[in-house]
Amino acid sequence: MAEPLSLALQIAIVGLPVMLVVIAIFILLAKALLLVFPHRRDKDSGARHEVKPAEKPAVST
Amino acid sequence: MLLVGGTTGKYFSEKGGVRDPKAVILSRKVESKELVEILQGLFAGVAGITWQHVVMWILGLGLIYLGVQKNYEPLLLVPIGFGAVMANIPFSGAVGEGEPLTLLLRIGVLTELFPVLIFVGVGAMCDFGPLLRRPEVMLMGAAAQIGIFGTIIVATLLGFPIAQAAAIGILGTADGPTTIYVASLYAREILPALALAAYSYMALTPLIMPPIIKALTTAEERRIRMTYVEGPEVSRTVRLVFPLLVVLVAGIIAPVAVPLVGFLMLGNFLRECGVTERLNKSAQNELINIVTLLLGLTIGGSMTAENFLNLASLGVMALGLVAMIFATAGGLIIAKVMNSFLKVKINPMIGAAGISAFPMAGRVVAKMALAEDKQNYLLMQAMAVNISGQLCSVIAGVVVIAIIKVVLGA
Repeated sequence: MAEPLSLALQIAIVGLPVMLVVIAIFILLAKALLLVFPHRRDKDSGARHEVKPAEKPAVST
Repeated sequence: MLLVGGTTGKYFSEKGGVRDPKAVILSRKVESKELVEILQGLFAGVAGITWQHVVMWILGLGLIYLGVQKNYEPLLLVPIGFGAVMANIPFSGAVGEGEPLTLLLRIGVLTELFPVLIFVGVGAMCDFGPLLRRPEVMLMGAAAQIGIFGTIIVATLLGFPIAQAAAIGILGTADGPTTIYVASLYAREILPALALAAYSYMALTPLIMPPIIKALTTAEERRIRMTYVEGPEVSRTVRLVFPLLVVLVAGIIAPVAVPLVGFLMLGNFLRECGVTERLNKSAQNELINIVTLLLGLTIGGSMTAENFLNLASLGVMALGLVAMIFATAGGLIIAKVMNSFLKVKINPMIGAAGISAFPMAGRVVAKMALAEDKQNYLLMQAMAVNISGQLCSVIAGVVVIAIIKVVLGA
């Protein structure tokens, strides 16, 4: 019992920060991409506008 | 073998000639013995029924009922239930060496083929646009995966070996294909129970999430309104480069998990590139539907009484619930922590949508917000977090696979 528990703790101690770092990398990558390739303005709607959607999305998994 | 001449009363041999009556009587004695054997063979199925079979029928029929009557994940629960009923008929020809359900298990699940094919469809269905507009929502998706590690520890404390505990922990992603993928790598013995737990709890998201959310938030917090400001569209280049970057980075960190993340992002790339519309539509419809049917049937087929009715399965089902509670609470707590740093507060309920059950988790949160305040529309914000949970659950799976590979040397 002691050995699996120690392995589980190791997985948690290593895994949690690694997972958060990997996700942080993806957040930074996405931010960098947005900087390099700026947002595309929607010609029809022009500037930012508020939306209060009430419809469900069409996709479903 | 004799052929009886019907109303004519004549006996004919197989070749059509009339036989000697004495020989016929003698043959009849032999025949009646064979008849008893035939009848015994015919009713062997009835004699072979055990209480375990009956329990599994009830379970299978229960899953079909939940799918058909309650509309809980019918696309999966119906084939799973049907497969479970077929597999638990005594001497069933659907399972066993060379039989269809066993064959499907070998070629589709133990090879990890079905889960990764499903990921092509899931990727094609995912619009990462809301996530790319505000990449920081991934923090809430990440927080919802914290439950994985808590569940691994609890599973180990309950006596599960470390590889099985890791696969059970993945239930905390609320992501069926990732759970099956990791289980097929490290915990084949408990794969049926894991798959059933993953899809059952995903189906029960509308029942599991609200009490946890209500327990961890005040009515005032649940009423926090969030104005959805639709920002400018994310450029096509970003939408194209992002999936490729995810495959490269995740693949370099954990090469063993390339199929998991690679097939998901392939599906998304088919959606975004704009020149493979037929493939995109096929991935979203025919491919995912066919593989879902086969996967559900296979999982049901692997739920034989001898495989499923044991303490380990009960433990997996219980731990699945623990994992879902951890996951829901994790995202929600991080959202509350974020609130303490933000000037414009977010509704902490959207953090709970970080579990990968897409789109149910997002819808549940949006519905709860409307129940508290009829003018509080959180659907878009919750969906952005829900989509990030989808991506983060795969990343969490990648990380767990990589660590287990190192720990076990597998």
